Amino acid sequence: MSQLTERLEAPAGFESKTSEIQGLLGIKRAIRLSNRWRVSPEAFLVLPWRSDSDGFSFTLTSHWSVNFDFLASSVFSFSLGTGLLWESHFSQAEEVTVGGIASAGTFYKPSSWVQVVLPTAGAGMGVRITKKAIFQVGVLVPQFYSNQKRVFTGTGRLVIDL
Amino acid sequence: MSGWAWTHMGSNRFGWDTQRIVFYVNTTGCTLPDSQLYAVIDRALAAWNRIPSINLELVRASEPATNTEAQFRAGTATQLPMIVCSSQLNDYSGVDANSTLAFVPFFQANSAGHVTYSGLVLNAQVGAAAELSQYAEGELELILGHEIGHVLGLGHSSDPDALMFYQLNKEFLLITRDDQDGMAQLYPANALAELFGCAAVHQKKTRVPWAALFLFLIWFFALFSLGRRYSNIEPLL
Repeated sequence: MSQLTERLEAPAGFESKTSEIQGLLGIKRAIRLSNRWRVSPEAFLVLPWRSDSDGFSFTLTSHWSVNFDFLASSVFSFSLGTGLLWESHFSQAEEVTVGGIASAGTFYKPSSWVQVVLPTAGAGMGVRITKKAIFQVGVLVPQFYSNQKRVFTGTGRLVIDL
Repeated sequence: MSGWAWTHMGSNRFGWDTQRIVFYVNTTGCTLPDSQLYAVIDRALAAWNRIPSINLELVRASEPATNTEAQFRAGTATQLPMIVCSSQLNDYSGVDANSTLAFVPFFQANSAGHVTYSGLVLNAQVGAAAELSQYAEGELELILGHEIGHVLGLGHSSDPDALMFYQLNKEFLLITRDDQDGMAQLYPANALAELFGCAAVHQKKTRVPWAALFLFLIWFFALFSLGRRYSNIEPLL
């Protein structure tokens, strides 16, 4: 996932700093509506590999959506749908010493488990790469109904067609 | 790839007890034109507002603050949080006017963990190396964005890409995943909760409509169980 707004507005030379590419792995199934149209529930997990942590905290992000898929061919498909983005933030209480400009400062990690649930809209294109695997690229928009909070997030996802 | 390096100013998710934080700006003594300073502040606030995973709106008060820098320094200001300019940084102990453009001198919270007194002081000490007018707008925006993060409750991060990184190592304002995660711990957005009429402001326990969420998941898995693999169904070409 990568936020497109910042990338498009970044000064020249800084575009690469605006994007944080995270891998998504998911599963889907399809309910046939017609020869070309499907309804597909999909579930994705953002693979949480990161470095540079202070203290112990962890964020698990999943995305659950139901899409309308149009099969342009047996390989290419287009999808449009809505869903929920669910972030689960966990943190263990700890005092953390972080370097400061003049001297190191003491800050804190709380003891908490916080859920963030956001409705999303999304659209994308899929390419079937094997009988069971589809690679999808698209745009995900959390809080698509809010003028202030709406952000466009680029996604590249590997989905297993069950 | 940013890390889970975010920290907080307080030990137990200290944040403001409101969904809408109004920043009161007193430009008396500031060494930048008001319009320029307001524009920089607005852009810094707008950057934090764009985070979808937080239930928070930041605005600048449309009228200049009537509380003064002296009142803020004395701890008696009522228009909070404040942004003020100081021409005598010696009034704040331990602050070096030649290296500090902006700082947060107070971060006080009550027993419920809600921030009660905080704000931002800008260096307007003429002749100092870190005085306000010595900085380009992009740098000002970046530093103000960082300090606003402190006012909201974020501490420093050791992630060098994060806005809350403890050193100035960027040239423009960018809020990274690490910053967002730290903020989501303080002001988690629960759009489902808002839709179902139980929106929470800064609370120790976040209100998640678990019933609605599990109903959605049940409906999702019901649809899933009705589906089949794509490749078993051949489209007409």
